[in-house]
Amino acid sequence: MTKQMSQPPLIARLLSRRRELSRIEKEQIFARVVAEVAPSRWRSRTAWLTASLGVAVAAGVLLMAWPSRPASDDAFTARGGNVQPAFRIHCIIAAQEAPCRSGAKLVFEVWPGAATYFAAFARRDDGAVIWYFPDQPTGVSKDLRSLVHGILDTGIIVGPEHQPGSYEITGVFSPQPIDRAAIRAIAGSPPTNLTSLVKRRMIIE
Amino acid sequence: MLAPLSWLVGDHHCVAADCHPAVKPVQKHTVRVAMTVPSDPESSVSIATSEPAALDRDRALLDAFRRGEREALGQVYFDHVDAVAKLVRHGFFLASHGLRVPGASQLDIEHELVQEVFVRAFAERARNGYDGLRPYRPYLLRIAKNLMIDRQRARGHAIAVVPDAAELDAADLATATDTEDELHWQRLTAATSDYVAGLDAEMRSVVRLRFEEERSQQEVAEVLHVSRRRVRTLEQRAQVGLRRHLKRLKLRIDSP
Repeated sequence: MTKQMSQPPLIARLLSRRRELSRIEKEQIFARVVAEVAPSRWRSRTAWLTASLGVAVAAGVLLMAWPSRPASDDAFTARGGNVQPAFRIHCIIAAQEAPCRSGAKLVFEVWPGAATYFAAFARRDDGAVIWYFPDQPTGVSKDLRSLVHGILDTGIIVGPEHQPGSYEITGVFSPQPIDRAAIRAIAGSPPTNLTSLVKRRMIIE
Repeated sequence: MLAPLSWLVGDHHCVAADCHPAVKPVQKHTVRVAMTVPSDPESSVSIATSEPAALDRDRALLDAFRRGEREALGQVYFDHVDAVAKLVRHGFFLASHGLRVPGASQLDIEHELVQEVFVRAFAERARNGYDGLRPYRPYLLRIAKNLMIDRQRARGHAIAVVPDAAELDAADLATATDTEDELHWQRLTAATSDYVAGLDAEMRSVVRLRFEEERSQQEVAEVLHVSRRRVRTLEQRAQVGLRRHLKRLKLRIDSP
């Protein structure tokens, strides 16, 4: 997973008056560590989540809508808001985590940090873009208050638009809902103090 | 202890693990697995090893750490990350072999190594395998050393042989820097001091608290009686401003 840093790490170190890791760098590393070591948390939640998944058939990208839940005191959301946002994707087949391939369900596990909204799209190596959130041209990013145990309440069915290959999935975290035009602009520009970009790689078999 | 999560399943409310057939209560059990401690013949090579009061003396923290609770992971991480980062940055010396393992030459490698140390140490099996008896920091440092050695070998780089092993110690490794690099750093820090001196009081406070004192955004917000978002805004603004200041002075910032 790569994270676009707002500024070069050296700037934070200079402000810290030392050449070692700055607090900001430590926090960013910690967020990535937690994202990597989370599997046990994932397994305790995925059983009921995947068992309850329904499938909505539609043209293009197929989405599953889970009932929206009220925000709860989720132990897995960041405390104090001082951790950078992050996300992971999981591919589910028959209620089990599996390699990503046609028919699998993409589920997003999200650590929002201080962000309130999340958008995501996938870009194939040939440049083709597949929109996840918002799923409609007129839609806006997902409200992260719909997270349940850190899992986004909407998943993605891997359909024919996901040809086998390598994909870069970009997640855009923001304090306000944003539309696709804004997401494109953010993804193509240096990040600001209000938005965060997080990228992950996915292989469709 | 969190209140049970309740959600709407079908037409009724259920409490987590009580009514949904797919929910399986998380099995809680103590796993005692012999921790595989990477061999470390260089136990005499020292980085600062003062151990904060933590994992091997705080049972509640240990239990939370083993469960993978984020706050516990965070506490352990921040207790030890400086020591790991220092080792990664400066390298170390294999006294018995007369070999020098260099530190990370670039910031992204430094980040990558630090991250990998904690990913390995915080993996579920490793967390459950820690017996809570031995000091935790040496374990982390051994992981770091092995990673650094493996990296050197994987890149086809020989580990430098130090001709006179008896003359070197870790202190030399920690302070040995290229002269030009040191001079550049001094120029950068002088420019930074000038920049900070020109900031308004609120920004200077954020710089001091957030960067110099390494407080979290929430802590800074509480001290300054502002919102956490305000702290984040000022933090970002301070960095952008410094970067522009250095650019005006034509000082490069592409290396530590």
